[in-house]
Amino acid sequence: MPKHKIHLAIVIPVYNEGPVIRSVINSLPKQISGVDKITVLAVNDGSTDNSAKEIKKTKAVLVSHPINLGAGSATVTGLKGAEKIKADIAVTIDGDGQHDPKDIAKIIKPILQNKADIVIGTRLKKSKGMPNIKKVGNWGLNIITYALSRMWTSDSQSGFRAFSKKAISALDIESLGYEFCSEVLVEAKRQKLKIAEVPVRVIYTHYSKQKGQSIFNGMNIVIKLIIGKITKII
Amino acid sequence: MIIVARILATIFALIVVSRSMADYKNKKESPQMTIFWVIVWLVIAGIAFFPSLVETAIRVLGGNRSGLGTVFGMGLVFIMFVSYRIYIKANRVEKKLNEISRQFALLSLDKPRARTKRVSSNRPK
Repeated sequence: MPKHKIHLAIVIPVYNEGPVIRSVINSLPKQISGVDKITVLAVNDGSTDNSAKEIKKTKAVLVSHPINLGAGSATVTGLKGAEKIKADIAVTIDGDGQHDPKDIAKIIKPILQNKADIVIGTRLKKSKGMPNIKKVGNWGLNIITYALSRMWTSDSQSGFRAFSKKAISALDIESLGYEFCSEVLVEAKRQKLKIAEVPVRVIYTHYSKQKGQSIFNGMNIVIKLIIGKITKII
Repeated sequence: MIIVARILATIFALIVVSRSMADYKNKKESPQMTIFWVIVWLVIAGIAFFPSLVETAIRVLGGNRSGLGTVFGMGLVFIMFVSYRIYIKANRVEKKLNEISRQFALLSLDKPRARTKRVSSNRPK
């Protein structure tokens, strides 16, 4: 990383997270070692609750989709926003509070040290509290992601990731939904980007468990990934 | 039964051909796709009126017998192709909608000063 002032953008895709989004944003670190400026970009993905109002009460910059497009689309909008505000690093973090904001410093470290372009905060190495069905589902998706990208990661579906400036501009993502997580890895392989994994703590509250993905959504991700691969070939 | 099939095939063929021609005139469809759909539906209508055409086609292609299974098989392939086309079109529309929404959302990151400047330059003097 060049020795200039480092601007970090924290991207939070938000869909109907009204009850918790304010506390999630307020819990984000105000200062991080090695970072000179932090901008929080909250991407409201057409929420139908009071999420946008809650975000406006914080210091985060609100970016709003006029309609609900999906978690992947909201994340990409956030990354494009990070590019627009000339951020050097972008971190994506879930809006339901399942990620520990203290881990942000850990996941940007490999980028600051020029060791990676994309860092995945893996939940499966510290998976205490994660329901078993989710562990099985995540492993299944890891295998499918590996089949498509030839790149093994222990938590291919983690929404807690860090992207270097190079990765932000290189990735060409088409997915709109949660299949975005796997497509990033497929794209990273194609663009020859360096990937690193950092274990992160996962905070499973009653709220985040309710908001989490069901096994049927996992099936949907698999179908969309396969169709996406076929249509790209054709 | 065969009369119902002929009537339906004629109605569908007329609808699709007229829609394709209208889309072509409005530049919503490429000439290749228009020709393709017109030929496909003329063939379907032709088969409905002259089912023996299938037998002839199979003989020409080297087969020796056709049954209801062959016709259903051909229909299934056709339905799969149509589904694929619909998926591609829906996907294209979804992507365009996504891009427009994203551009719209990111407008909020433009500097307020730049926006004010643009607005004021459009005001009548």
